[in-house]
Amino acid sequence: MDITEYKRVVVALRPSMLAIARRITGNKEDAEDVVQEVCLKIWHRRIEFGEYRYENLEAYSTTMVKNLSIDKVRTRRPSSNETALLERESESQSPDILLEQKDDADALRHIIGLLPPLQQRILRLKDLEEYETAEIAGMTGIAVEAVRNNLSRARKQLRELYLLYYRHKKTEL
Amino acid sequence: MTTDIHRLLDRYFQGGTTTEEEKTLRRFFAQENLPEEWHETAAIFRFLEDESTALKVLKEIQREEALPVRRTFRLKTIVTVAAAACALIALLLVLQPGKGSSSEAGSYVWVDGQRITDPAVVQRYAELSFDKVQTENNIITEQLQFMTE
Repeated sequence: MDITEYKRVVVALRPSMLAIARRITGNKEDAEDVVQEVCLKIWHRRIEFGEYRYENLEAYSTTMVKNLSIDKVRTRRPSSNETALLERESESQSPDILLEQKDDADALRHIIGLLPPLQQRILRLKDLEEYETAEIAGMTGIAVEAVRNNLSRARKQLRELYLLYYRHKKTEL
Repeated sequence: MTTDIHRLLDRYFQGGTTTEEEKTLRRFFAQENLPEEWHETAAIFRFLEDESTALKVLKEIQREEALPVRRTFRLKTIVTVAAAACALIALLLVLQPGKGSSSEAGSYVWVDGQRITDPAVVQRYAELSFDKVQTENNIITEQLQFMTE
């Protein structure tokens, strides 16, 4: 599947994926997040999906959208018991879950999710959206040097945790 | 080359590389058959490259979905309402009551000064009028779209 084919597939699948996600999550923003995540998963597994029939890809994406939408609703459900809430949050963000990720892309996305919010945002702006450091300083309202420090910490943490995952995966083989 | 990559990598992990230098790193790590020492670093750069490529496409799709569709929807709504009003006026004109002598019995319509009593002929005239309105509707939509692009 090349980029043109990918775009064609996403354009065709998006409306039904959005409708399902919106029905389950109940709001547009969460639905967009879920659909984006599924679309990224399709792209990361494009070699495998390249041999799929369109109907199978549609079935896969529908299942993924349903599962991720349910996860989204679960993680945001308010709890009166603070300890239970903290436990649930730490469970879903725990580095242990990292070792259960099926592939590199899921593992790396999970690691980015473990980073502190500011580091996460800066890493996304720099390494995924390709902004320059000075532009990020303007967007986040922090000094250029602080952007560099946060970016450095985020990248090192990404490498360190990925190495943990990579070695664990190797010993399992 | 490898020394340059080592140096660039050090700067990358210090947060000091430019977007252009990061592209150099991505190109290097996209190569097949890299020595094993590079494997885990290559996996990170391949992921970042893949993710940013897909994100660009997804943003492009969202932009395409948002702008022209809304404009077309608005245009279509305006043109459809206008066309429906034209069709209604045309129908009222064709079927206007009280035209001609009140002494004449039965249903009839006036088209281009001619009195027509055959319902099948009247229906054909009405259908032709609707087709004409539909064609004009399409032309107006195209012209408005062209003007707003």
